[in-house]
Amino acid sequence: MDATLVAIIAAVVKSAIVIAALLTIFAYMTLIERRVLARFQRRVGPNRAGPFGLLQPLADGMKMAFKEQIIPTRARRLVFVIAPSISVFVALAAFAVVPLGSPTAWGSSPTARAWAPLVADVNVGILYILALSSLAVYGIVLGGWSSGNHYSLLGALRSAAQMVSYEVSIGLAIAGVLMFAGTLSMVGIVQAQVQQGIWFILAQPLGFILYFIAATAEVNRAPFDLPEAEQELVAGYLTEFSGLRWSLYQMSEYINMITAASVAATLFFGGWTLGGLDGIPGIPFVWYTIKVAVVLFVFIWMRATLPRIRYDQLMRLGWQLLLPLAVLNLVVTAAVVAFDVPWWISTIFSLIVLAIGGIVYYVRRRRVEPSAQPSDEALRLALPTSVRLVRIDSSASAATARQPAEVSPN
Amino acid sequence: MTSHIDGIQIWMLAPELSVVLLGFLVLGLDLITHNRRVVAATALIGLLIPLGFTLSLVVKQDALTPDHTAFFHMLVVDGYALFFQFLFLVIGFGVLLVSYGYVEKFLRVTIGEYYSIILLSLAGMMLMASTGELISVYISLELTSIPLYILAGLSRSDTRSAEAAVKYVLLGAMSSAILLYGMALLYGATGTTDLTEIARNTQAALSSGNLVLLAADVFIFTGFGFKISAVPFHMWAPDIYEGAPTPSTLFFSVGSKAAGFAALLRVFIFGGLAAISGGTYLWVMVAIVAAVTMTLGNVVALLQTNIKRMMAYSSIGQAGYLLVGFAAIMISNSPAGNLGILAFLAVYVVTNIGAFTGIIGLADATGKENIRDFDGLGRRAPFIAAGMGLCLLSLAGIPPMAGFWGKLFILLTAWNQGSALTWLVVLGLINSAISIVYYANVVWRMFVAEPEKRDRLAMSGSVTLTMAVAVVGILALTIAFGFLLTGLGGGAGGLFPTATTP
Amino acid sequence: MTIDVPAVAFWVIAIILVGSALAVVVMPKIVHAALFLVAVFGAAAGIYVLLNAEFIAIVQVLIYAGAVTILILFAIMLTQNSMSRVSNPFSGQWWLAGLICVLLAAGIIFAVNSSPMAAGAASDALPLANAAGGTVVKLGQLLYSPFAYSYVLPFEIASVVLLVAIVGAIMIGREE
Repeated sequence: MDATLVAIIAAVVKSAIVIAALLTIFAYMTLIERRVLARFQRRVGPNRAGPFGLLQPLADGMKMAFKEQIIPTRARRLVFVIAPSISVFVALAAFAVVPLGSPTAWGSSPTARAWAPLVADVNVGILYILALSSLAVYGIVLGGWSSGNHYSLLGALRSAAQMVSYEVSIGLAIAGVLMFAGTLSMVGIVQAQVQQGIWFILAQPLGFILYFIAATAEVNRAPFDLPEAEQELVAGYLTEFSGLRWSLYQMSEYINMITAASVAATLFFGGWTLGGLDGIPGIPFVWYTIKVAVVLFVFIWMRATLPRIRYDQLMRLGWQLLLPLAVLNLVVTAAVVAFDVPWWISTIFSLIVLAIGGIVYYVRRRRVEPSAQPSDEALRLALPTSVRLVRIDSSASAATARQPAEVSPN
Repeated sequence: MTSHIDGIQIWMLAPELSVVLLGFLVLGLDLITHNRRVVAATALIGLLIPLGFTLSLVVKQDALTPDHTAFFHMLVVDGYALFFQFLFLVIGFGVLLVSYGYVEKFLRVTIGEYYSIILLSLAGMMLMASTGELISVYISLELTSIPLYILAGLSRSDTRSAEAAVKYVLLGAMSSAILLYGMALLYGATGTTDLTEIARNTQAALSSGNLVLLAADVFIFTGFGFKISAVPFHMWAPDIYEGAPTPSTLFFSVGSKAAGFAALLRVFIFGGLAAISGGTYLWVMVAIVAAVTMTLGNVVALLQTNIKRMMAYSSIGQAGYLLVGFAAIMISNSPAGNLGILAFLAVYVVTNIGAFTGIIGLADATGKENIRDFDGLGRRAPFIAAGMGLCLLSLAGIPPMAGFWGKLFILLTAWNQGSALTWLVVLGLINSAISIVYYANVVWRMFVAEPEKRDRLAMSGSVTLTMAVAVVGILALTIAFGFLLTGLGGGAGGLFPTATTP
Repeated sequence: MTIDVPAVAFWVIAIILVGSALAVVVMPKIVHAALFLVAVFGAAAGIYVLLNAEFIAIVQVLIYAGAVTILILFAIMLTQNSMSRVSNPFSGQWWLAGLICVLLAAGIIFAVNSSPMAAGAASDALPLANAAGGTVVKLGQLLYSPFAYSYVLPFEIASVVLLVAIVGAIMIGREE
């Protein structure tokens, strides 16, 4: 058969499989997340529908499908209806270049190659993912803007600023890996790790941590889920969405999370490979799944552990900490690659930076202002260490307490 | 072509490089010290370093790469480039010096930020004169322009300043787009961005009457036309000159214009575009633009009441004279006419610095900038008034001032092209006469009219010093040109050692 | 039956590109204009893909569609009630501008069609055009290489331009 025709058919079939699989995984990710979060919080979590609650996603899906989809009167209808689809479309499209297994194992002829376990081996694959994840913000911004609601708009604008800020850090954080790999192709990066005999996380611990933080912010996950901060913004850009449109946004968030985890697995953990076992059919996919699952678990873990940070802290973290560190990492890595010195030089450098960061963080924690210490005498409350209160001026509060007594004689 | 970048090539870039580094240094110094004098002194004395590098390049021309280019033909260090580097350094020195007092009094920025922006723009101007490749020309143009947009909007409490900045950004972006479009067409027609290569390829394409090249020529001329405020593209100049802080206006009127001409001449002559025009009479367009520019600039200047608007139209008129020289070059297609333009530009720069120093001095002391505010300045601040009067008379072209010689050079070059440009020369003379009216009006007000107040104005040291430097410069140029005039016919092409390709 | 797929793709993309560019200018509401700008950038990226310049295409999407336009939208949404009235008004002289544009376009199209373009010269002059695969590597060498023909000087100037823009933005935007 004609090779072009095969390629087209293969692409369509593989896309269909990927889309179906991602939608199923999304549904079960919500279940897993709820169950895991419940464990963290010493609860049981959803376990009624089916064994271990396995039918819960189905039940949720049916509920969502039959819910009324409200369109507010002040909404800009067309954009309001399209926006959730944009989000999902972009999220699904970004997954196209993620390799789930080795293309070379499928043989070398073009017709066989067409069925390799990734939709498209683009030679600028990682940039393709970055570009599409930068487009993901459109779904959120347009959704928030078209709702005709100030909370939604604020959530959308936060999201725009957040994503634009952290995109820069993401790009620079993975640049170190790209220098080691010498290619932008996702397949090529995995193959480079096999050739050099290391996972790039060993050479780039700092790069990985920077990538992970920035990616968490990029997919709007806790502790960076400010666009939907319920205490301040109701539900941010999601406020006016209901029914299937709301679940489309949830879907895009989880798919983006899976893509970010896949990129982490591919760039830093050797993708589908582990210890030469990847020759056996089916094994590469298992390795890939395990690696992605571990990263996803860390995402959920972070959500359970860390409180949401303030907006100014978010911006300061992005621009004043992540970005300079990413540039530093880039420069050192460039020197390591250019002068052809062993890779562990950059590891040592990364560890030194991380150690300095840890020390600085520890020292600064110790030197929190006395009046902002977690246990404040004025309140007589023992607060968890993660909470930092604003300074409470005890004399001022005493003065306000006295005031009625002074006023009353008049 | 030299195969890789070495120390000599870095040295050839040293003037620009040192200006950029000086900009960084001044910016950083602001963080360390709050002493304005230290920062200003660093910037002004620091400018001697690039000056030294430029002079070293002038002296050691034989030690450069054989074809005087570096960075793969992208940097061209010939006499033309060195002349402009020197001119821009003089501009930078003058602008930095004269704005010292003004920045403290009227602008809410630190002196280091202000100086660093000007220095980086200056580096862009120097690069505009010394790049031999289209992308570099464009990027240098942006490096020049972006600081200028910022300088226009620095007076943040003033809505006119904000208006000026916005207009400047929009029109600047548009002119850049037109310029880029022309460059894209040029690349499409010749397949290279290297001006030397373009010159070679256009020679081949000339015979076939290449319309794409003609379109590229028109677009590029239009793009630069905005930068030099030639007439259909001059609308931005008066508003922006009026709205921007006065030292910024000075920088626009001398720096931006000189850089625009430097790049225009570089692209058209070094890139062989003038040669195309020889075949297709493109010079007619330039001549018409020159005529309209001169006339409109000088006539409308008569009607102005604000001195900065008057200077804006005056600078449009001066651009017209320069375009006369450019038209002459396009006809002759020889760099011989360059000397006229370069001489005129040198005089224009020095006299304009002097004239604006007077305006800044008055604004510093009284905060006013209308023409009638100059009444009796001769008695209130004699030295400043005298210097400014000298500069205005020179701008008008009264013999034997330097401005007269500059105009004479340009008009002579045009006259030598035969009958084609005779009408333009006559028009230039008529315009010169018109311009005397409004320049002399200011001089008359300064020295004859009765002032409202008779108090002495306290002029800051930086203004007085700048004026002294400008006056010395004008006198020196006047004397030098008196001697040079006899040599005009001879080795005038010497500034272009490698320029002419055929 | 043979279809010249790249040619068809080019015309489809070109029509989208020009149409969206027109929409940017004529759309009465500024947010819609900004959204069509995204389409313009996307279509331009499509043209780059057809020219085998995947890297440029992706970077075009990443920077222009993903960051620049988002910032434009950001500014529009923050500064005004962007849907309440005609926020992208026409100048009274739009017909004159349209006439000039049409004449200019006709002139350029005529000029380009009637004159030889240097397609052959381009591939000789630039090493990039010969690179079949690995355009990223070639592009990198063409930008930074100190040993072969490269645009390292304009690249470095561009970095200074960015620095100036940052410093200037802070000078203009900083609160008193």
